Amino acid sequence: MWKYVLQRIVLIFVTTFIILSLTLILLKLLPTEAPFGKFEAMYAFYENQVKLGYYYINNTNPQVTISNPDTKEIFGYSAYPVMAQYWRWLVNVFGWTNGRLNWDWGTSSKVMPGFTVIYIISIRLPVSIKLNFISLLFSIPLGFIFGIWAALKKNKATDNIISTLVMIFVSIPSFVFISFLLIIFSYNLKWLPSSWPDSAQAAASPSMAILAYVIPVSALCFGTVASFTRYMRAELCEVMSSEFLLLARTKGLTKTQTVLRHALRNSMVPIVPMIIGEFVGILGGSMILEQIYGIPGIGSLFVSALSYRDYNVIMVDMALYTVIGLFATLLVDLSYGIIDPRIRMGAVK
Amino acid sequence: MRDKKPLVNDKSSDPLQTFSSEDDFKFVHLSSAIHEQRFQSKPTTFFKDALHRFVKNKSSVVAAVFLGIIITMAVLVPILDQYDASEDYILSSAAFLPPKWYGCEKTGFMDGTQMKYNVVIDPATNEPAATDTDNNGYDPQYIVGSINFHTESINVSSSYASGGDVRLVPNGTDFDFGGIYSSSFDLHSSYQYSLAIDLDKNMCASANAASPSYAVYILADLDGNSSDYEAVIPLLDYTSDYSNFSLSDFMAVIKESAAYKANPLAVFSAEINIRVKNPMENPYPNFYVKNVKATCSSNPTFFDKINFSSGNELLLRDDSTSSTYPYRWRINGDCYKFVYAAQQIQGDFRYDLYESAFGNVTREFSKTDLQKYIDQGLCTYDFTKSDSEAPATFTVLSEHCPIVSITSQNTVSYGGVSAVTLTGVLSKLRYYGFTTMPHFLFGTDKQGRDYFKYLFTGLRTSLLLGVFAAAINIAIGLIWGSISGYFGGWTDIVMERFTEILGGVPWIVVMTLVILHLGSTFWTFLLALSLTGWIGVASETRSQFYRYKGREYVLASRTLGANDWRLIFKHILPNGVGPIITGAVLMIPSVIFDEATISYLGLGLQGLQSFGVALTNAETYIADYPYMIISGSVIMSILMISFNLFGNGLRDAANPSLKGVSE
Repeated sequence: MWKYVLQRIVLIFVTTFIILSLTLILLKLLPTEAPFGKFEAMYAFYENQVKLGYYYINNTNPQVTISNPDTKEIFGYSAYPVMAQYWRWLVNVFGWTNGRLNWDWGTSSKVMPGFTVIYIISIRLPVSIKLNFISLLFSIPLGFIFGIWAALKKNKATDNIISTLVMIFVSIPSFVFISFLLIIFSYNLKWLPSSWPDSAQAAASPSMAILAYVIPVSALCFGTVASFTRYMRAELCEVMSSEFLLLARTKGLTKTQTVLRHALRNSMVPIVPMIIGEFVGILGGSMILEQIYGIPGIGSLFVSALSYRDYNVIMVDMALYTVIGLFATLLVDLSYGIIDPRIRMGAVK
Repeated sequence: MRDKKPLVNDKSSDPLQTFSSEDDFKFVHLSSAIHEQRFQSKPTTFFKDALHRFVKNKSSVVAAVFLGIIITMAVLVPILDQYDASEDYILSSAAFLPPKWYGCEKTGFMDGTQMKYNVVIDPATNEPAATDTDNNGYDPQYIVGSINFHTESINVSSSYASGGDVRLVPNGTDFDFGGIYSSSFDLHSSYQYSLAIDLDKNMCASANAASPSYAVYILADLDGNSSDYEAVIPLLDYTSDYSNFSLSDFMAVIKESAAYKANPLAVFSAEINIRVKNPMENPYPNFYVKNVKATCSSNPTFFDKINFSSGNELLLRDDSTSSTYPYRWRINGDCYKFVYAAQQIQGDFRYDLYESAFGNVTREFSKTDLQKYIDQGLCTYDFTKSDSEAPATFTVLSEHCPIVSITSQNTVSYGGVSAVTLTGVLSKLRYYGFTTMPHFLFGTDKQGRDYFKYLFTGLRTSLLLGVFAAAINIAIGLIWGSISGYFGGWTDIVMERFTEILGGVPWIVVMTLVILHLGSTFWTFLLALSLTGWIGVASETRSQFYRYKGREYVLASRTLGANDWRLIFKHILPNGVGPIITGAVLMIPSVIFDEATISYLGLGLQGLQSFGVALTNAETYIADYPYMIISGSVIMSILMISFNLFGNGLRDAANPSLKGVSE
């Protein structure tokens, strides 16, 4: 077991490293997107590039020149070859100086010029995590309740209605839901805010800050509730028709007792890994939602970084999504074994 | 012994037919040897069997029908719909028209009309104040039904409003008062002048008025040099009593003042000044004046330039740019003046936007305009006739002629040159190239394009993308998975590690990198979708190969000398292809979803209409023109639900053992 976990973790690091390397090289191959217009910003950007080791000062035959409008001084810069830049990047991020990791992912050039990317991510990530956590908090119990309800009323009207709704909600993308919710509750009924309040608005009316969660959280919830319901129902139905449950009934347990003590616990086996998988799923799915609703999370950060071509931010955002995705897969795989000891991941036979 | 009961079917209580005679159990082929004969009945194939099961699944069949309809529409609508929905088509007057359906006329729903709320009404005509037919105005003839009038309080001055208070707010830091002073007038010491100022008592005393304290002064030019108003004569000292101020003869007060006594002129120039005490700190007071009325005993119209009856009127004077400058009350000290609660009539009504955009309008034409249409053979007109007779000679020859009729002709001659002006009715419909009133089923977008056609043209692109991507991914995935699954061992391990690493890259990263490098065209999208899209097919194929490669029939074939190629393509693949095909069908909606997602991220297809781009464009106008995003979302929902139901049905049909797993 531990050998398998270790193997997987090593593989994750290798995979992450390869993906990040490829991403970096591909991004470095794109034309450099420096801030334009203001001399100070451009000068600071290129000086930082020199400091990071991606560019060098080259006044004889420069690739880029910028001139100070006040002193008429001209600065010339040239980029190192991409593979050299890649090596510098490795040193900047994973290099070891003065007994600690360098961990320098660079600074933002357009989204929040001058700020380090790590700082930008650190202020954006909690918003996204919070949003996803809240929607998971609502969708797990709801999904369980509907799933159990449908399974207990299998092939009755309740089950049919729930199954039909599940089919509908599982199919429709969350960005379609948010459109409907916005039209109905924000623009027509005017009950809920139509976009995320900024910090000033939120401070002015705390109730609005809470109400602003309703639309994005419910748009995220519909799909997850539906898929939880679907799996819960399927699992429970399967367990309910198994022989050990029949045995429990014949021993004299009531239906409630059999369901609560035997059926539910056994049907949890595939559900718990699914919760982890779903968390990653909505983290990715909330990207458009954040963009539509104006939520300052990592999803909307990625979108704005893309539109401004702020490559350092794109790089770290992508790395984050990759790492989260890979570790989630590992967690899902491992959780099978933890919840059901009969399953031995990586077992030979 | 048990009771002998007839055999009972599960569902019905009808007794089953009991076997009557031994004839039912006769051997058919007792007399002939059949082991050399071929089967007479046709063998059922895997796909026939699957189809048989699929047809039994009602919801999947319904989904398939819906899918068929949508796909047919995606193919046919771009061809059959005659409206122009190309990228560079712009018809600004038809922008943002609501949906209009055939047979919905005058129902108020999808009939091309829209409720317009709180439109400013001109009280003189009881019609919308802006009556032009462009996007901001409303033509009374296109209003459907009647206008529902209501009066609203507004805090800005408007020429269509009346009443209201002047709100004076002294909130500067330079003066200890803020106020307004009137334009100047000449006072005769022998006349009698009265002054009455009405205050809004309730508003002045209200909690957020911050208890204003006000005073009234006469500013007089008593030294006669007509340059300054140095004498400040109080008529009312600072008070917080908001009962209306009224003085029957303020000349008497002026005469009593020390300034006048020092310089008693018979005629002198003066101004009225209303001041509010400025505390120079928050909260600043708010002072509300309803009207000011001054009268002169000898001349009833003398103060007309100064008197005002409402705040709205006073503020409107500020806007007059002509020589009416003296009418204004100017600001004195630190002061801001606003209108408070002017009354404006507003109307709610249903407005026919299609008539407004495409209806007939009376316009003036020049001779060249008309000559152009005559030259094109659209109409005839006799310019040689006189002004009164010529209009009757106008005849329309073609239904494309923008001019419906000519009502009058006017010839002006000057210095031997004559200019002809014509007045007639122009059909905007025909002018824009239509022959009948257009019915845009999903409305129009910002460029006046038919959103119905735009959406389905986009859907066509997205479906094509999906089909192509599915085809490519199946091809790569099948080959990769076959090799990996069939040969196993080291080949499998190496290939698995490769797909594992590639599969770890989030698709959004792949898409982004490809599009950043190669731009977002159809083919780069396809490339981005195919780079990692085949991994799912490959792993499915691999597991199918593991499942079947050890079976006896494969072994039998191998012992008979079949090579790898034959084993893979003749024996293993045909047996395991069911779930692979199902997965491929479900790849099409996921491609549509991915394309929509990437469009929302701002990297959508460029220069080509796609479903995602159509949705993203509609999303921008969700607040004001929700019909576009509604129709797009509904189509998207139907498409996704149908694809999922259809895919589930296919999967159940292809692999009956999985039936009901995910319902």
